[in-house]
Amino acid sequence: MPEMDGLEVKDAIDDEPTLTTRLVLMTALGEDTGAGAGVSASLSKPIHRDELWACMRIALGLEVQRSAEIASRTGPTSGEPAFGRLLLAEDNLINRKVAVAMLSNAGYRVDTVLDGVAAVQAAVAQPYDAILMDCQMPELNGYEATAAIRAEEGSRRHTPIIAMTAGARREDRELCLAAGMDSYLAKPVSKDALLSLVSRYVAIGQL
Amino acid sequence: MSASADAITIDHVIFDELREFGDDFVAHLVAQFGLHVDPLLVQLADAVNSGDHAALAVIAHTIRGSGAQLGGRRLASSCARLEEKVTAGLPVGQNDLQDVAVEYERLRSMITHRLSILNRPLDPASAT
Repeated sequence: MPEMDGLEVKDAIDDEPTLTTRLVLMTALGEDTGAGAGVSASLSKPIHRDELWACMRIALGLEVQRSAEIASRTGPTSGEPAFGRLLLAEDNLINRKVAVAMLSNAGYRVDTVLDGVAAVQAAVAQPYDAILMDCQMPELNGYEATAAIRAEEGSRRHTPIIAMTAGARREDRELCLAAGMDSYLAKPVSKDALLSLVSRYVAIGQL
Repeated sequence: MSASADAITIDHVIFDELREFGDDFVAHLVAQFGLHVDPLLVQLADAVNSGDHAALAVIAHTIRGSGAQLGGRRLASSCARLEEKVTAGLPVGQNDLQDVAVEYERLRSMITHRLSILNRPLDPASAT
């Protein structure tokens, strides 16, 4: 924020003994602010209604926090993910909403990012069972983001990355595979194709 | 709008898949689609007028992706034609813009109309 960022506001409130305001920190996905003390709860953006509600209950002392952070995710809101945890990198609002609906309805937890840089940051910050990667995104495109994730993973790990692209040509598929992606899904995405591919790669990743 | 024109405009397989998540969800998507695409059409017109081919391709691609995910077959085609022209270095003019704008409006009104029909309460007289 301009003038004072959120942590500075928190510090100023901490320094004022007459204030007993409870604070909820809103952060970007995967961002570690190191601001545990004095913060009642935290939320990662984008924020979903159920998570905001749960977070407010925790901040007001109506519910005990189950973990250090309520991350920004959709799908089941308690316990472990039913099928797996996914990262969806997609800048197109409509495509993102539809894919999240399809995946979360099937029981996956889905974190979303809007560009390639955020995709790399999220993949580094947190292991995912699979990543769905739009190919044409701002900042870093999907090919570049995939290459950066593969470079970061080295030989330690191989997160399945599924490309989502409007390009239906054979060359588009070859580009995806050459960049280090594992498979390819043509847009518009159909539910059966999406869930079939994701379940296959999540199962492979969890072996 | 005839049934055949409706079928060409909308990919019903995709549209019906969306309806599995509820018509409220589809209505929300259509509203978001409008908020998302309206300013893009203005930017598209600006890009045509200024001859900014890079911007043209990116904007047409975005509208194509959004429209196609709602089942907008003809809108996606008109955007794809525009993208192809840009790639081929061909001039893009007001007719291309008009095509995209017309298909966009057609898609929105068709989806809205379909949702209103699908959600219309049954007439008790016709149900007997």
